[in-house]
Amino acid sequence: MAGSSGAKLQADHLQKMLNIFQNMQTNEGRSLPCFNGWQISIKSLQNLWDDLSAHPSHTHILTNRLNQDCLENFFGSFRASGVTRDNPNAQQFPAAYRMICANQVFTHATGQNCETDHDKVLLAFTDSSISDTPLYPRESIFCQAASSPPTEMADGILATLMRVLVRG
Amino acid sequence: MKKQAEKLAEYREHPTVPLIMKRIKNLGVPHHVYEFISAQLTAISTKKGPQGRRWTSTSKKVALSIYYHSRKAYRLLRKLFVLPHRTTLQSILRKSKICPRFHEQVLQTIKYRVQSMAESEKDCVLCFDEMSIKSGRSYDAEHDCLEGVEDFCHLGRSKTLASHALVFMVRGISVTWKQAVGYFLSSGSAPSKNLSLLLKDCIARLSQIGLRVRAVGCDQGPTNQKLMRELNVGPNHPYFEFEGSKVHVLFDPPHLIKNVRNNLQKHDFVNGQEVYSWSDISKFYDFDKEQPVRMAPKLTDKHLTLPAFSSMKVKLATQVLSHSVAAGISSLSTAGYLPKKSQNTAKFIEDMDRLFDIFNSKSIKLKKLHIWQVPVVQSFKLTTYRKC
Repeated sequence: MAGSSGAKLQADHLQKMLNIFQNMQTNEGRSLPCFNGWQISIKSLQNLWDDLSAHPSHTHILTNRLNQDCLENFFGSFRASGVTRDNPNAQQFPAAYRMICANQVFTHATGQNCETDHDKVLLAFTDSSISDTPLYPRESIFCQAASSPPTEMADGILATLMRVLVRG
Repeated sequence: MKKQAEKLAEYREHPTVPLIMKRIKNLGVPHHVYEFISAQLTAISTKKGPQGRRWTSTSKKVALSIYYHSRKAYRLLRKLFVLPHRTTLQSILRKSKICPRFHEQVLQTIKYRVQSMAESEKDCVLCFDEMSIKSGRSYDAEHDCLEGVEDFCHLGRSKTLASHALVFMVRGISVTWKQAVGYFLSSGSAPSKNLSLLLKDCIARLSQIGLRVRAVGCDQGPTNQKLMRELNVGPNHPYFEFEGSKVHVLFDPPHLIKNVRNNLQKHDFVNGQEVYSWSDISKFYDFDKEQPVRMAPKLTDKHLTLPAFSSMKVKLATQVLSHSVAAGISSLSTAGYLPKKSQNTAKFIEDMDRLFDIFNSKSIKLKKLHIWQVPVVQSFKLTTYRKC
């Protein structure tokens, strides 16, 4: 078989699985959420490809890029940051978030439950909340006193860093 | 006169730091290089100890950018040069607090990157997922606020302790880039009402900076299912519209295949006349594990019994719903060791294996790949094709 056979095989198989999941039930005569989920995913993949292929530069989709492994890896580096820490607490989370984003330490512990993604992080230095908006809405509890106004120096640092890193 | 001449000669031989710096400045070196040299020279000439060093903001900026590129390299550089200590840098960072919200500054900065992207690179997938965090309350004295409580930024804070962090991340469809754009704290799973608002908010912000969110990826948690019902997403309508363009919904295939496995273990699946049942798999395993040469060598007791926490392992599900198991059941059924109807189960397992392969294509190099692992394409030349 030659030419577009592989694509056709795949398309046929997706359609076949769609039919199976539409008709399949448990022996108690119920449909299951995961059957629905597969149907949605299969149809979305078909539609997504229809949408994307309208643009000639999309020659293919690597379906591996549509799953959540990137987030699982992201979370993995949260858990890996620190020595004996499994899950960070709410205080450590932002610090780790900033560090991980900034350091690009998307390092992967072995034996993880998802595959390594080799994505580059767009922005190396992630945000701080030095911006014109206050830390929290003023009316919210505990936070009547909003943060001190951002210092010019810290602002400058961020601006410089971002310029440096975005250019890179 | 003589004394003055001596002084001048000494001055020429041992010029002061300000004089040297003045000369260097006259050479027209970049600002940060000037600051760097100045800091080195001052540190050498001064009698004050390391505690007495004062850094200009430029020096700190340079140091911080090195520190963020690599902490290890920074430690090495600190041995060679005079650079601010880690805690000095951290004290600057303390002023820039990161808190639960979409980080507008991140978005504004990646906007410049996006502007230089080709059109097809702007297509992206938005993923969101929750991670459990340790709950605990703490007081941030510097910003005078309580940390560790549920926080949805503009959707409000509450007094309950947060147990989950919800993270939003964008990922390019055709190009390898990813970026976390924001996070929120919730107690338990985030309610679908908030999720829906945040999701739409996020898509709006991303389209504002020029990215096109083509698809949304999430797992099939109860709140996510509720969210999809509220967005009117179902098998017959697998997308929702946002500002006139379709956003497709994709559930995470690894989660889905685990769910299929878990349910197959609990119930038999009925499809018309065909019945797919877990008992065929366990019968096959009982037969196969006694053999000196195994048909499915990767299968272990763990795959069948699924002890605590192992039901979360994707590997255990994909190895059960795999080609070798399907082939094994099929051949045992043909040989008469298993009932004839086991063929149906074998076929179903094979189909699931192929489906998962289709949803897990990662390379366009065809030679090494199985036919089902190639990317979804319109047409491609298949050189090594083997019929499955």
